Amino acid sequence: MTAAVLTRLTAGRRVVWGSAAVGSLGLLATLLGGWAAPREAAHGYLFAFAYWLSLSLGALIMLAAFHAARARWPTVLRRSLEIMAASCPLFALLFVPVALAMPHLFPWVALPSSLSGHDLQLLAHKQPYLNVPFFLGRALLYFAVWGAVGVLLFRWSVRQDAEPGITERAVRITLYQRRLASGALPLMVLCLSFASLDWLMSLEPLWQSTVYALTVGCGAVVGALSAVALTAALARGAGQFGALMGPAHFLRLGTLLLGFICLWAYCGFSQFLLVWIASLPEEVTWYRARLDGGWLAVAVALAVGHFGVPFFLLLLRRVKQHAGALAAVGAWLLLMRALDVYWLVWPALSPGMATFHWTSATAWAGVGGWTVAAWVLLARGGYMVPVRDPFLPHSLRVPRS
Amino acid sequence: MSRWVLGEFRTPERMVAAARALRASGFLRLEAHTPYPVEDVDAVLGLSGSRLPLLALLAGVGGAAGAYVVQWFTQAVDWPLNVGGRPLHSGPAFIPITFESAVLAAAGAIFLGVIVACGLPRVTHPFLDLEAFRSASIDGFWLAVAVDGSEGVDAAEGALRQLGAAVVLAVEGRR
Repeated sequence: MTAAVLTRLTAGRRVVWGSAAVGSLGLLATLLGGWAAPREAAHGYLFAFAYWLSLSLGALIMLAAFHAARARWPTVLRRSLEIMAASCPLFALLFVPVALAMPHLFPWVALPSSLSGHDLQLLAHKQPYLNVPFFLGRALLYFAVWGAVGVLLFRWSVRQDAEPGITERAVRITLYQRRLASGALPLMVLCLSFASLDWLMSLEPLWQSTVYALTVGCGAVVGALSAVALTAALARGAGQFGALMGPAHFLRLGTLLLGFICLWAYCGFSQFLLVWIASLPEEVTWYRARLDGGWLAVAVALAVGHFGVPFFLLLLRRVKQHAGALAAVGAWLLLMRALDVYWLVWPALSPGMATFHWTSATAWAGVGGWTVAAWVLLARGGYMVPVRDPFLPHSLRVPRS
Repeated sequence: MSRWVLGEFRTPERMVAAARALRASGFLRLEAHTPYPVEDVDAVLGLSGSRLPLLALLAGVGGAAGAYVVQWFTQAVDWPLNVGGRPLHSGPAFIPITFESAVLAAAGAIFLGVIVACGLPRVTHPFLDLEAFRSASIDGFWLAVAVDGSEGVDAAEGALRQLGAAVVLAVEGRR
């Protein structure tokens, strides 16, 4: 395989402008909605932010895990992960509205009058961790870590493309990628873990769960792998990476997806089981908020749609090997990811009463539009596979079983 | 007594081409014996799909249902036991055992199913008596054609020779 066969991605200017326009309109509409209903708009925006950031972070974690495991087969689809991972700095910008809306989001910032004296005492006890300057400082650290690793891995990979062949320098770049990814993996996962506690769990600061961050992280990886499956099936034109992927690659991608769906369900269910069986007043509030008043239907939809149905579909080899079928499962799972994040965020605003506010949709389109625009912008002008990676030939010849 | 005609080919490509030609000329009961998996051979041999997935599904569902019923019956019907004020029929608490039983039953069914489907615990096969067939685990690519009667043997031998088999052997024995 030589680079002459592969072409650089030139199309997509319209996609960038279209997505950016949708994104700007969506964010503008959310901002206008925020004048009328600031709490609703703030939670809607946080939902959108968490959803799209989780795709980017899931890709970053998976990319680093592939490098750390010295995996060779995913080389052909690695560029899509690199692009998603390299979009992390955009979310530092998109975090600004979350920071500005903190009083509307987090009860520990602006203490609501409904809290009892005991609750206030508990919150005062959490003050050394849950306070605004430390919260913002931590966010800065998270974005610094994710951004640095994501951008470096992407830039090294692009620089490797410019080599005239699989030169000594190209090999050295692969070595650097592996070292950086393996070294940074624990730090990045810790940042993801703390970020999920800061930005999602502290919406209800009196509740805690130790498996929460792992559930969110597994969900993020499910979203990222689904996005890869979907883009691979869409990018099957000449010279695009989907066309180079055979049944063996889709099979492995689908198997990973199956694994992370199971892990997500395992974490989510064990959290539920422990809370249910202990039945402690301070723990059940979180589930009461998410199971009463119509939320039960959402929870059941998640159990069936985020685990049950895709689990059985992904058990079938034929589904995993077929690009279109796997992409359909991926598209469905991306929808379920949105429902999952919504179920995590929104009941903090309306506990025990399933509601919807239009700003969630506009914010989702807004953040999503900008994210997609950033992805396509990063992809434009470059190859869609790491053409000078020493393991690309190996990846292209992965046997069927 | 079953009869086979064996043909040895020197390369996997020639074996796959021969298998294709044999199927086209009506020899449908083919089997390939190769030192390593040859990628296209599954499709050419026209093997029917494995029945193991269905077996695993049935065993898994059966295991899950059985485990749930046992828990429900023992905890809520036969010997109602109040554990810390939880309902007698505690659905969520039954799930882990149910899931694990499903996995155990499915895995066990696959394990035993493979053994039965492979004809184990049979330890030998008529082919293994042939000295020449040893190359099937070294560098030879063998096709086995199951035939009926002596005229079938002659036809298969002729076809295999014509397709360029280096060695052609007729075997008779208990399957």
